[in-house]
Parts: sequence; C-alpha cells; structure tokens
Amino acid sequence: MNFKGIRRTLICVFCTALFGFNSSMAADLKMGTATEPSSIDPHFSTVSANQMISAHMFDTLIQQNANLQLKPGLAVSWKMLDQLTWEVKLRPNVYFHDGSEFNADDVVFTINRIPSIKDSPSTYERNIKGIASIKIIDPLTMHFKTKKAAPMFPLELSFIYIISNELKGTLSSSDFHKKGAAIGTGPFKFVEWVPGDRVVLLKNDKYWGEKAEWDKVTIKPIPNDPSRVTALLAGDVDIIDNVPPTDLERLRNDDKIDLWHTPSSRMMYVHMDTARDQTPFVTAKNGKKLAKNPLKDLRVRRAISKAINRKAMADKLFHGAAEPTGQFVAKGMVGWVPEMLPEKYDPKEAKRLLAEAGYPDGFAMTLHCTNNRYVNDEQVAQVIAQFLSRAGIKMNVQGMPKNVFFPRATKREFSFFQLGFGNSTGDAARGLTAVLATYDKSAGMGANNRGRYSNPEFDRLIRLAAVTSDAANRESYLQEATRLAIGQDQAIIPLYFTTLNWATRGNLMYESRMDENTLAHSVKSKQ
Amino acid sequence: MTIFIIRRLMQSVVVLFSMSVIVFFGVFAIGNPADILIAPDATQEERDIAIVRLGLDQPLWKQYGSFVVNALQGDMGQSFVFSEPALKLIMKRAPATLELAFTALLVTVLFGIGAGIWCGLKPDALSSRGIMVGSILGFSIPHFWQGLVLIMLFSVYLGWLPAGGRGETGELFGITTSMATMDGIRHLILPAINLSLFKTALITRLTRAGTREAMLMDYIKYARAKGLSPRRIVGVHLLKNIMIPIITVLGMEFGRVIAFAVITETIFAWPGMGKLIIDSINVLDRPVIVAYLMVVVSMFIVINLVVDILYTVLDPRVRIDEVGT
Repeated sequence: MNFKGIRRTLICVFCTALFGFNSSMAADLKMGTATEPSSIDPHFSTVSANQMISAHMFDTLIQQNANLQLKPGLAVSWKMLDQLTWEVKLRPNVYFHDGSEFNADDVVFTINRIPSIKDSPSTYERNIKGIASIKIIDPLTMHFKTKKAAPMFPLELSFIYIISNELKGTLSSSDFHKKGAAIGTGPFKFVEWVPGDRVVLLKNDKYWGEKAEWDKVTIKPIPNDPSRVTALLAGDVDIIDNVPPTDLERLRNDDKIDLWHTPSSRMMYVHMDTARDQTPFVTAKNGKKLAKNPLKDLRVRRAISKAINRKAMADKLFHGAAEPTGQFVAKGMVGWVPEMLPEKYDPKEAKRLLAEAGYPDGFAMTLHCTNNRYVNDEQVAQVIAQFLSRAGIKMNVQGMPKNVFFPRATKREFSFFQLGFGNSTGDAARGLTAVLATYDKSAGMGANNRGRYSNPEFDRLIRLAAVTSDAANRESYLQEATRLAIGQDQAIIPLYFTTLNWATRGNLMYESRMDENTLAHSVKSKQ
Repeated sequence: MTIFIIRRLMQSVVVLFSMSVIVFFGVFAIGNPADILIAPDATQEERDIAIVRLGLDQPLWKQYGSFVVNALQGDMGQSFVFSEPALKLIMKRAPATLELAFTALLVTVLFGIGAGIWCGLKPDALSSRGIMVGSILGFSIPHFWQGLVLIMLFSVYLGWLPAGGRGETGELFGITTSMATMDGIRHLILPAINLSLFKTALITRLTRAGTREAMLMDYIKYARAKGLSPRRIVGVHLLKNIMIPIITVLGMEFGRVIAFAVITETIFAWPGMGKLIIDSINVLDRPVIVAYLMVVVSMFIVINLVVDILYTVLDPRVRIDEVGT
C-alpha cells in the first residue's frame, strides 16, 4: 500500500467517524410513519396511530389479516353456542413479556380495565358494551354472554389488546410508557417512547406466532410528506408509509426503492343535502334563490355521478394510486355487491338528465372539501368541479382545514361536499349505518349522515343485519341496502378508494395491509 | 430599577390575561374540539360521555372560569389528546427546541456579526460584495424550500448528514442534550443552519450598516489618532456602540426561533415545541394551545426585559426608567 492509499483510507475513516454512514445492522429496522400515537396504553384511544403501535407489543384474541378478515390470535377458535352466548377457546402456552402465562384471567382483567379509562376522547368501550357477563369455564375456555344477539362480537374483539393481570390495580395511561406496564404477548417488547421523535421496540424471542425478523425496531413519526420521502432516500429509514402520489413516479424509477400497495378501505365520496327544500350553497346561475333544491331530484344526482370521469381522475391525478368505485366497500369485504361497477363517464346522458329535471342551463353550486385530511383532497374537488362545469353546472370550490370542515359539515352548513369513510372493520355495516341510515341521535344511527338521506326500507335492512348471525343472510341484507341507497337512490356519489403505498429501500418486502397499519413484523427481507 | 421591573410585571399580567381570553375563545371560533376528537362513528351516548369527560359540556364562560382558577395554581389543564398535563407536554419538548434555537443563535452571532463588521470595514472589497449579495438570498429564500434543498443536497445526494429527526441524546452538565453525542450533533447541523440563514443575513446587514456609520464618528477617529490597535478599536469602541440595535433584533429573533420554529421542525421532523403546537392546532387540543401561547408570551416578556437591562450594561447613558416607558 502506498502513501496515497493510506491517506485515502485515513480520510475515509475520518469521514465515517464524522458523518457516519450509520450502516444499520442487518437486524435493525427503522420505519418512518406519517402518524404518531398519543399513548402507549393500548386501551387509550381507538385512533389508528395508536392501534398500529399496540399491534407490535400486544395481541388481540382474534386478529385481522392484511385484507381485514378475521383469523385466530390469542384465541384458537370461537363459536356461537346460542343466540346470546359466544364460546372462545384460548391459545395454550402463550407467555407475556415478563414471563407470566396467558390465560382467561388476563382477558377478564383487560375487559374490566377498559371502562376505567376516563379522560380519553375515544375509548374502546363501544367494543365491549355488548357483553353482559363473562364466565371462565377453565383457564383456556371462556363464555361471553351478550345483551342481545351479537353477530359482530368476534369483530369487536379483534380491537381489544390483551394486557397482563399481573399488573393489578388501576393503571393510568402514562404508566405504560413510564412504569413498565407495557407488557404484552406481541412480537415486540416495548423499550421507550420519546414523543415526537421515536418509539423503540425489541424482538420478543418467545413469541407464540411467526417470530419477527428484526432484533430492534425504531418507529419515527415524520408527518411531513417530502421529509418522509427524503428520509427514505437518504437511508435514515428503511420503510415509509403513506407515500405521496406525486412522488410515486420518481420512486418507481429508483433502483434502490421498492413500492408496495393495496387498495385502502377508505371510500371517498361526495355527500349532498338531499333533505332540505332550501339548501345554502345551491343557487341559480345568476346567484338568485332557486324554487327548490335540485339535489333532492334523483335525476340531478345521477347526472352529477355520470358527469365525473373517475378513471381519468385515478390515472392522471393519482398516477394510478386510486381505484374508482360505485359502492361503499371494496371487493373482498363483507357487503360488496358484484354487479355495482363504478359509474361510467357519460357527459351526454348527464346533460340529458339535467334537462329532464328542469335544469337545461344548469345551476350554481359550491363544493366544500378538506385540504389537509385526505390524499389530494382539494385537487380532487377541483377536478370534480371541472367535470361538472362541463355538464353545465357553475361550480365553486372551497377547501378548508379539516378542523374547520368537519364541525361545519356536521352542522349541515354545506350543500355539496366531499369526504371519506374508512371501512376499518372490513365490513359494510358500520359505514352504511353511519353515513346512510336515518339520522337518529339516540339510536346511534346516521351519525355521519350529514345529507340526511332517509329511507325506511334501508333502515329496516340495516337493523336486520345488525342482529343476524348467519353470515350469508347478513351479507345479503347489507348488499340489498347498498343497492337501495346507492344504486337506486344515489344518496351519495361514491368516487374511489385511495391506494395505500409503502416504499422500502434495500432488500425488503412489505405485506401491504388494508387497515393502513405499518407493522414491523410485516416487513421481511427478500429471499 | 426595581420599580421598573415591578411595573413591567404588572403590564405582563394584563397581556397574559388578554392573551388567554383571545386564545380560549378563539379556538371555539375555529370549531368545537368535540367534533374532531371523538370518533366519527361514535353513538350519541358515547359522544355525550366523552364530552362530559373533556369538560366540554359546561358553558364556555364556566370552562374559562375554571381554567383561570386552575392556571393561577399553576395547572394549565390536561391535553385532550394525550391526557397529560399540557404544561408538562410542552416542557418535555422544550429542550429539543432550545438546543436548536441556541445553536442557530450561536451561528447567527458568530457569522452575522463577523461578516457584518468585515463588510462594514471594507465596503468595496470583492468579498464584502459577495457576502452582501449572499445575504439577499439568505432572507429571500423561503424556509421550507431551503430546508428541503439542504436535505436533498447533504442527505440524499452526498449522504453526509441525516435527513431529519433528533439523534441520540446524552448528558452534558446535567442537561439531556443532543450536543453531547456525535450522532446528536450530526442531526443538529442541518436544521440549525436552516434556522439561522435568515437571521445571519439580517444581522450581517444590520452590523454592516452600524459599522459604516460608526466608523465616521469622531470617537473612532480620536481612538485611531491616539494610536490604539485596530483590534481594540473594533472590539471595544465600535462593537459597544453598534450593539444596541443588534441586541434588540437578536432578542426578538431568539424568541421567534423558540416559539415559531414550526417550519424547520416540521421539515426536519424535529421533536420540538413547534411541532407540538401545529399538531395540537390540527386537532384543536385547546389546553395545549392555550398553555403553549401563555408560555410563549411569558418568554417574550422575559426576553424583552433582559434586552432592556442589557441596554444599560452596554450604554451607561441609558437609564432604565426611560427604556421602560
């Protein structure tokens, strides 16, 4: 080796020391996520950011696979004994991170703890409130009595993360990241949480299921889109979620980066005021009041749906990262209707329908939307406005932050507005009930029905589905309800499901999940 | 001096009080926190329970009343989102922001004043002209764009420095800071540069203007005639006389860096207070918003007080009760 070589080597060593190419070990995984949990307590809040962290450290009795269908977790089987009783068999030989063995007492302890969380805006109480009593038959067999027939019981259980009854007493949410209460049975053990910066996890070598590949996992919240992408490009993290559509093309052309995607469960739609005779944001083209609300006319709603070219929107605006839809849930979910395809783009028919409804020259309308809630939300609204202008409706788009949009939408201040609904249960029932059932505060129906669509037959089908245990019958009620509200009445205008995108660098694979979760144990090395 | 400080503190109480009223009621002008925080598909019963838990069922004036009573005892309320004391949340994030702000300030003072004096002493030199042109760039480039360019250049293409986040922290004089570890310092460099570029440009121009003006003054000529070394002329006579406007601006800018480093913290995923406030505004976490702005207002009051006291140190002719009015 000559002098030059030595000098070069020395410079390299120095540079590495200073700028250190943090060459991550093979078994280290760093993930950059768009969201951050508000607590480590798995029962604190139902928001998806919290569920995502919990799923690393804790297990549920029944789990959801990547397509949101149920599979055994800490329970090996479950069945309905009679209308009001569910029997659940637990998995033997499962140990918590502290070494204690898992059994039925832990489940009871967990379920009893949930109502004690008092200061959370969205607790898991609704998942357990159908339970009347719990009976332990033996340490690995449990009988749950429900207050009424509960076909959704297994699904409700799939959100309840089991903690150890060794913890005893009342636990506060902050005990979980401070006093080591974060003891679960999950594939990873909790190490630390530095709010705003990182969550660190270590592998659980005694995990009962398929063991994770990573010894150490660091989850870094990077909410800013360009920053998350650059963190991946710079090699600070190995995988990012929520890849912004504008960067897809670029990342696709990068040899070091791989993209993984799946359609999401979030259905984007336009909601309309179909109830009031006078609606605030629809007028004649000259700004004068109209005699009646055109959105109450089915022909107008259908015309609007036909005037929107969903395919062009998906291709051009989302670079393929969106899937047009004509109904509430995606293929593969319960309640999907095979024959309800996305509405075909038909501007001529749209014009004809408008003329038939008595608006040959159209009218004027404002489309309200969020500008920081969904991918491309405001751009989508502008594209819709363009299409509707072509059909003769004078459009005005008003975007606003989500914290302004939702309260106003709930107060029914809008006439024509665009938003989304996450079918996180993999099942149409929750969405149909919230968005399209007749608004009824006390019954908890139609909480998101901001257009106030109301059809007694639809309500009957939804109520029926809620108490039907037979899966096939239940699904047919949901399908019938969808045909009625969307196919026949066009109460909302479904647009598309956004595609969820993950990007990895190096030799990694990701099993994309419809629930938007980014899980370290779903990241694997390519073989 | 004592009277001055007491008078200042009394003014501060009024400012703090009006601030709390504006922010408290302002949040409700944006929207009701309950509509954002509670799951959209919650039943009415669940909503009602949650609203009572968060204390949002009380009339607004009553909510404000209990806030004031608690605040006087040092309790700024519990965050709706994290269910932890708001003040504690802010204080937990404060070290990250402070170390960023101090580093940025240090860069600003070293480079800004140095370059400014250089340009003021040699206004016609090529280097001075170069610096002046550069300084125009410094304060005309938007922060977020400049930040992303820095990341693209130093992290993505050159791969020298990490693209974001706070590195490892260590103990230095009993304070947990990222300045104590190599990894921490590497993470600190880019955001600190991004924050300080604008301020460095500003201070450079300010110092240059002051220097050029002061160099023509009689006392400088006299000092020269006396045969004092150039170092002493610049270091003592010149610097002392041009410092007052610079200190004022530095004080204000320092406050702004701490309170509103939002853009830099967002782009570099820096876990500081700026990121906390943006997240809190997005979900209308009122206790955190109110507590944060109260902390910021108090901080500005203290900084201004310190700046005023510094004037008297720098220039004995300034009497503090003049400054106070």
